[in-house]
Amino acid sequence: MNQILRRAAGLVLAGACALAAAAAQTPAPAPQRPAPQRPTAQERLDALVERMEKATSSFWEVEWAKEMSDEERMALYAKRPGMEFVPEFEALAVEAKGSDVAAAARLQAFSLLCGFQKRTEAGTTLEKLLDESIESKELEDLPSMMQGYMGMAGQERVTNSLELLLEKSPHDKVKASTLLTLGQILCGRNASETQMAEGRKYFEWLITEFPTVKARKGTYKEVAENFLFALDNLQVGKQAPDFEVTDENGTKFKLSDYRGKVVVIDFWGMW
Amino acid sequence: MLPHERSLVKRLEKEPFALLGINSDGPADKVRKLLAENEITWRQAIDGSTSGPLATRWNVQGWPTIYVVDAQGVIRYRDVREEAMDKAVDTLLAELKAAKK
Repeated sequence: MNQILRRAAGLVLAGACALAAAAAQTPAPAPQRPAPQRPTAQERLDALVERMEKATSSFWEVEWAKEMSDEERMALYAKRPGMEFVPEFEALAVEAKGSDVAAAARLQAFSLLCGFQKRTEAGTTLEKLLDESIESKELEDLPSMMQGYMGMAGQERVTNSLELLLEKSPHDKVKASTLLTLGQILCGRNASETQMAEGRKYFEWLITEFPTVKARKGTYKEVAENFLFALDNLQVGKQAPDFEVTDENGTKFKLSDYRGKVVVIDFWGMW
Repeated sequence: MLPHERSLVKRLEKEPFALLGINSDGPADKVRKLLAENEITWRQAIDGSTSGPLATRWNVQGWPTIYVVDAQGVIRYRDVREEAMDKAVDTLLAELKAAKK
């Protein structure tokens, strides 16, 4: 208000009558106050993710850390947060249909549904995600989530969806991540020789066609190479590849220093 | 896990046997503290984190991951725990003894 008064006063001061007359004819536009803007879909997605992360971390760090009996813990686990956010993500996906935000929101819903072992709902959400957003760049993490979903839906369903994603996605990151997961699934424990051979082809495809695509850490190519290294060398009956490491006192040693002894190699941590 | 490993190491302290921990908790000083607190006497490789160089090279996807290697350096068992680990190690030690005769 103050500003309006001041501006009006300025006009009068500058003010020939002509100006005053003009002002009378065309009323000065009301000063523009930024209208309260509805947050964009992206902003709402970010806020929703943040709200969910807060709820989850406070649950695990506060509630879960308390002393309690096993029964109480089971009961508490059943009440862990997450599912209540699924309808919100889904609503956002419907509203922003066709956008990357919709894809990202639905991906969150899918991840939650997998985590809560909701087989049917996860299946429906996945269908919608692939129907409406298969070309989105947001789907890089979908393949690794599908590995969790595989326990509920079976390998065939998952590999079919991944092959579709591989075919339709225009994004190298999504393709590379899909090839990696396909290789991992086919070369998983208890895989038949045929499956192993097929899985290797996916890894090799990834290595030759997408050698520079960045993963979370390093490149997808490096991850695939480590898988192949493990397939080739880290099998029962194979010579264990030698390594040199540093112990807790700063002394270097090699696995081969232990030749002549039976050795248990235990990858562990207390975190 | 730890109580079992402690007793395994104790039981076989005079045998040609070694338990090597590939630790992913962090830098050496942190690990030394954990070792002291938990009465861990066996040797550790400081791998730094779950994405440490050896865990990455050996493509470790879950913790713990266990390999049992014989006296010739051949991988003979994977992911054996508790009693199964005892059995695996005892089998390989017996094999080694028989070969030496």
